[in-house]
Amino acid sequence: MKPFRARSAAALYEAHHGPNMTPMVDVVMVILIFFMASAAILGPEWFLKSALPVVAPTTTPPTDPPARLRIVLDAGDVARVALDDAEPLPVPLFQVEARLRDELARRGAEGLVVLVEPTPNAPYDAVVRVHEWCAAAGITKVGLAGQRP
Amino acid sequence: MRLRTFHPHQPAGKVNVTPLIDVVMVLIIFYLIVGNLARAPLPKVALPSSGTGVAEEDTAVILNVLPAPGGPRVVIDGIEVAVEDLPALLKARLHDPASASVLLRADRSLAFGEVSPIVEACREAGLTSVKLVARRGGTP
Repeated sequence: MKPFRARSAAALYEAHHGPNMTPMVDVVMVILIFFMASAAILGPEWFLKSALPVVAPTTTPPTDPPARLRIVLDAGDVARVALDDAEPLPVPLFQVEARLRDELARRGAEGLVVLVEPTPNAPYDAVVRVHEWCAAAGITKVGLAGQRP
Repeated sequence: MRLRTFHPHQPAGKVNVTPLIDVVMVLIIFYLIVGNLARAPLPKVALPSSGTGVAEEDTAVILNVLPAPGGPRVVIDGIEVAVEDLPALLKARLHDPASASVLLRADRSLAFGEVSPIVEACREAGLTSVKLVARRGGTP
């Protein structure tokens, strides 16, 4: 029979039975909690910024104003589009995105202002849709016009 | 007499900071989650969806616009507010309305005619912009 051998402290310190899982569990847990936290903070919502322009009669008009693309939204996925003070022409709503990109390519982000003018019967969803198209195209100057008297 | 020598893995004089960093990071994330959960829950609004947008945290006021039979209801921090009182309330709540960040969480089933009095109230309060809240996702 093999006699018992007294274990030293050094021998106990060296006694490993398989790989050490503790650092891996630590790191995996931190990563898991980090992704849970980032998902909770970001949330399922985001926003589209829209300016609220006001008519300021006291200011002098700029010498080289940017082109103002007016998008009048009507009920039933129909829009009317016009540049500056021209008479708006009817366009199906799905064609507005192409028109926005066309005007942006022609004038650049600094030279174009998009003014969304929804009529009272226009769906709010269409207003957000136009803002989404502007944001996707890279148009930064987007405003929501007030109700005309 | 021959002394038994002990060879530790870690050389003497160096402090292992890995467990400290682990614990501190877990605590930070814990407080982030707790801080996020402590905010007042937002009312359920059927938001329109958008494939693009910006996410931001420093929001001054969140206007929730819910559809109702007699006209839309405006809810701010769980309290219903009349549209007529909205400009005064916004002026009182915002120190600098021109640069304030106000979120408009309106239901996608509403017509713009129902949302426009709220937009006009924001304009009257001196806001230069509103942020239209949308659900993350592609165009339906």
